[in-house]
Amino acid sequence: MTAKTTISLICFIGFTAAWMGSCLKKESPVVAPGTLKLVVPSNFPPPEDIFKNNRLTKEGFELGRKLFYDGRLAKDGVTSCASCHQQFAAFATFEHPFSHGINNQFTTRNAPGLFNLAWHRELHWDGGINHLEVQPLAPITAPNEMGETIGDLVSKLNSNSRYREMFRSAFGDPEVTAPRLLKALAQFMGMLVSSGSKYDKVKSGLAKFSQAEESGYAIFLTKCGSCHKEPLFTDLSYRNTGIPPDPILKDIGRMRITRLREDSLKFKVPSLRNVMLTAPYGHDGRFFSASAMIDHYRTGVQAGPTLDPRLRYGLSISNNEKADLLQFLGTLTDTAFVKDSRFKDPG
Amino acid sequence: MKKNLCRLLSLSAFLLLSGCAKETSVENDARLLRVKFHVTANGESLKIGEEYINTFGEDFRVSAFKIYVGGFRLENENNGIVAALNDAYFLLDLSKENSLVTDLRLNEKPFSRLVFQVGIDSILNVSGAQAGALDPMNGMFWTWNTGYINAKLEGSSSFSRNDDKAFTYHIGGFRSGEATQRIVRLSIPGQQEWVLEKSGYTEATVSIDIDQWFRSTHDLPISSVSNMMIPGPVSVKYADNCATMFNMENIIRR
Ligand code: HEC
Ligand code: HEC
Repeated sequence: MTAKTTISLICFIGFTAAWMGSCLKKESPVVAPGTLKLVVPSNFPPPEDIFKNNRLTKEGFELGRKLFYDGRLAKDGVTSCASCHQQFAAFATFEHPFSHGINNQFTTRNAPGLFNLAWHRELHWDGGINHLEVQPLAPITAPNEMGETIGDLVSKLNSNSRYREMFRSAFGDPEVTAPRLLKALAQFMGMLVSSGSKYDKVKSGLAKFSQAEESGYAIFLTKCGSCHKEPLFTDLSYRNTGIPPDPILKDIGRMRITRLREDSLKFKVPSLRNVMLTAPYGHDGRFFSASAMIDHYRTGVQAGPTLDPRLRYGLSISNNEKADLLQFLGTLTDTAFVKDSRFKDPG
Repeated sequence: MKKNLCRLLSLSAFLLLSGCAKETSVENDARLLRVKFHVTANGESLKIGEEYINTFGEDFRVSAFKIYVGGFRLENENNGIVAALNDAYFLLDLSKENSLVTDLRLNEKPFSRLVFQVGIDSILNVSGAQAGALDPMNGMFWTWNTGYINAKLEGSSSFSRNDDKAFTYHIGGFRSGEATQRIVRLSIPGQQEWVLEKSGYTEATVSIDIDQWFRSTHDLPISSVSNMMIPGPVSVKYADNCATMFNMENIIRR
């Protein structure tokens, strides 16, 4: 018998002992966290493999949810993720073009809704973030958002016994670390799936569009659907839709990340799911209604070297077509999602 | 229920077994190579806050210097790679004496070169939150434009173009055309082969010459670049210079 098999045998006996609740190594019994699964809606493509190094568990998700709603993640102790990402607005900022950070400072971009993030390979309007796990580092450390340092946050949470208990249940060890905190937040956010709109019900034969919605859908497919592609209502690409840059913010969009001239003024195509809940619109929130957004496509498109060729002549949409289009956009609201108690503030 | 129980049992068995296996898999014949990094400027030990002069005649004081190294391996002329520690990364931090000493456990095959990577592999720049030396808490991570800062040099100089006379270099980038990871190959002084002995350990002293940061492959005087904190062509030049900073001063048995 080799040393290795002897060790294995000892391990096996050890494992039996562990199962009986008295592990040889750990001080307290290890309770395997409850497995959770990302449910992929039947009409959706396969998601990105965002949980590859992050096993989804009930405990990890609950920890992420608590963190998401906790103002302690910010320097001021009150500005939580949820203060800018509100559930009733599909986790966008309700009615504000820019969101309030700490000390009454504002963000320079409009907070997007948070849902179906497991399908996004890149995040933010410019796609600067390449993994959901590392996204929270941006708002937590930005001086105009939560203004905290990761080191201070980790030590703050490490001195909180409730958090230590939750980290232990989720990761088998009470120590709060940055990667664990980030993985827990990714579990909560990755589980935010919105696929219960009237549109989805129509698609699966459980409901019918009204006549106006039906006609709006047809217009949508010809004029909008190539960028706001079904079923996510975004093709996740970056495009310049001819929105003139704000002279003060001078936001160059995707080019800030790739440093390529051809990416100047391109922004990620936003999903139009829950669009009626996420006003205002556009990367800097300059359009206060969906109607104003459509008017942009009709008359506001500004020419430029990186303008998407589909929009070279704007989009011709009659007033009647616009009214139907708005009716159709209304069918993308998922009321069950914005009321889902799994995603509420755990208190 | 029964099925779940089975699953749980096999899971815990797996966890325990792999836990145990790990401890025994530290090869019995692995030997210790201790690499001591020694940061220098103008041929002396670099001290935080002290003034030095770079090869352009510019005065400078360093307030922070941090750099990632990893992927250590030993090579020899005949057999190529004879030992490797692929996944381990270390953050060398001038302000933390013990971070400058890295202990590597490798096998005993004769080698003539110590090889390592400066900077973090591109795959780890796109794989979410990492732990250990790569923990974002170490402040070597860009938040709004995901990616590791492979090397950081901060300080001041009267030649700085900034009003406060500070200079700040955060060098990173992993996308093709902007990659800043570099392989460094250091020969054993005197062209000899070296064997890690079973008893005691081997200590290699590797100097890091800050003078090369500003001038080696490329000329980068402080007066021309006083801030560089994004990936791109200029960061690539700093990375090229970084790769030339390392030199094996000596190797001895302890
Ligand atoms: C002060 C308001 C504010 C706070 C607080 C805030 N966010 Fe955001 N969030 C934004 C804005 C604005 C954007 C868009 C940023 C951009 O595109 O540059 C955004 C974008 C995001 C995105 C990317 C969505 C997408 O579709 O690309 C995610 C995910 C996100 N936030 C999660 C969080 C989490 C988690 C927290 C808490 C740790 C948080 N946010 C805190 C305002 C905020
Ligand atoms: C060429 C691709 C393209 C086409 C075609 C297109 N869009 Fe967009 N849409 C975008 C991009 C990109 C943005 C983000 C623009 C920005 O803020 O810079 C956007 C933003 C929006 C927004 C704002 C969403 C939000 O959450 O801020 C709405 C609403 C919208 N589009 C509706 C439509 C409708 C309706 C049509 C068809 C009439 C349409 N779009 C056609 C690419 C497109």
